[in-house]
Amino acid sequence: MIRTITKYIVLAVIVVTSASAVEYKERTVGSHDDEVLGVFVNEADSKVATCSLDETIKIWSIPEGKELVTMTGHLGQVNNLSFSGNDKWIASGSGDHTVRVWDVETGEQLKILKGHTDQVIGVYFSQDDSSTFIASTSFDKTVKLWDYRLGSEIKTLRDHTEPTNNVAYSYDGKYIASCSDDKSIKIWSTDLETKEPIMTLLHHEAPVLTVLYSFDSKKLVSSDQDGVIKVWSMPDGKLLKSWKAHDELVQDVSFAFDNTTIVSASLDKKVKLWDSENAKLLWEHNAGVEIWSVDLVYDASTIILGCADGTVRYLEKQK
Amino acid sequence: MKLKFSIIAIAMISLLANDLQSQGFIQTVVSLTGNVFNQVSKQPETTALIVTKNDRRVTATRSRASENGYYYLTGLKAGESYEIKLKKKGFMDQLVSIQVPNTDKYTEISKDFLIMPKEAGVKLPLSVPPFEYNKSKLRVGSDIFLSDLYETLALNPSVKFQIISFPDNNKNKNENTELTTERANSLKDYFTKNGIDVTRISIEPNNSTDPNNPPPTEKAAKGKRYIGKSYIKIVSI
Repeated sequence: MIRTITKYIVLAVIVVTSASAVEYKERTVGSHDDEVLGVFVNEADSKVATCSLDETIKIWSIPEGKELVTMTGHLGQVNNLSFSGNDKWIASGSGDHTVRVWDVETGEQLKILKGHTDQVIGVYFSQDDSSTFIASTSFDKTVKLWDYRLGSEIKTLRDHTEPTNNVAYSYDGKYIASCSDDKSIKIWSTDLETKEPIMTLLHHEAPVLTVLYSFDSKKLVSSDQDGVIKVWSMPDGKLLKSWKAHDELVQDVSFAFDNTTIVSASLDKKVKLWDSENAKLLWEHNAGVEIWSVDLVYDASTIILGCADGTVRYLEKQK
Repeated sequence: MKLKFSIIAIAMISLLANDLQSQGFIQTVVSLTGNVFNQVSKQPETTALIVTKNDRRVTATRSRASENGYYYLTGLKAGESYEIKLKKKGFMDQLVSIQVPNTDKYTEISKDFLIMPKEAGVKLPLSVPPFEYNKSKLRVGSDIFLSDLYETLALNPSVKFQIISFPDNNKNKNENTELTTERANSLKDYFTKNGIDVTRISIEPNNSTDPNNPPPTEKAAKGKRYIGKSYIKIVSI
């Protein structure tokens, strides 16, 4: 009940503010030594983690933007990362073919999960409090499910015919979504027995670069190499909306807590806020630099960008 | 009456077994499944997998190329570690250690294998570049990738091989030759320190980037940091 009320308050705040000409101010809070490939805000909205071609992971405070810790150990670019549902750990996937798990507070490397036979591109921690599982995707075309605590590879999912680009856990813990250069999205069960996809979503006409579940697990958003965003209803897989959102590929999208507002960022240097119910553009901003990754806090008051010039930028809503 | 006693006995045995299992006296039997692929072509391979523990054979199976290299091994026990030998004519013998997690949570775990062709002239790429950009010293942590390779080379002592190293750019041919000589020698030192006979190893530096794996020329999606590859080329078997 409280969650529902909060959702509608957040939605109302976003709608009202978007109707009255939203203003964000951009602030560069720091930088990596090379392009920033992944951004992930924790559950408490107090920290954001970034990963980079420079092979490191950094954690920054929200809203201050103070650099808290740098994690080193990967032997290749860090392609993506995810906080665990309990905010204690980070999982990262790298060009060195490994998934690694890190302690958020100390920056200590806790586990190296070795099993993919090519670059790891996507990684997503299960978002329940125990945060036992990690899903990962790779240029080796597989989706793997790991038990982080045991350091064990428990399931390999094969059905994509081209490299798999990104992966997302549903917040209810029941499903994994993966996307691929084969232009498909596949939905998998997280139970230990099922290895065939539950569903394949086929409407994209270009390699699908990312997928993400809404917080209520009732929607899935995907984006592709042609700059198209699609929103699907879950778990039935019905296509709800599809629109050309950017002039270049969209590597990253994210939901606000209202499960309706979407932020997208692209190599066309723009970041945009959308109402996914009607594909209406709520706001856009030209960062002047190609953007690989984006995330936001629950009410969209802070948007975090990971940019190709190595900078980590906060867009802060002006009151 | 007999039936009644039988039912009670079965129920008691079942309860006892559950109790023993929960206390760790009976270990969960775990299966290992996955696929076997050719390291060079990435195509599925039919391969024998022989599981041993303390040099004693535990179980064995065969992957099927016709089923995308799928294999299924069972009879492993939770908490135990095993060695899996991969054998196929025309391929290197390989030995992989497996630790089965010490829990009754899983009855199946997963592991894919890459097997290396054993044929003069074949070039086996190092899966992860063990060098930083324009550097020739082996990176800290690269042992987790190189150890599998030297163990395979140690298991196949008749194989003579060449270390081929490529640079990261085409800016300066002399510097590239120097860099790739040093890189090849770093790998040679690593192998010899780990027991590979130095007479088995030769090196080939290069002054320009790998023609079969050139640096990317245009901006694409993720995956574009370029470090010259190194290869192990089999000279004779």
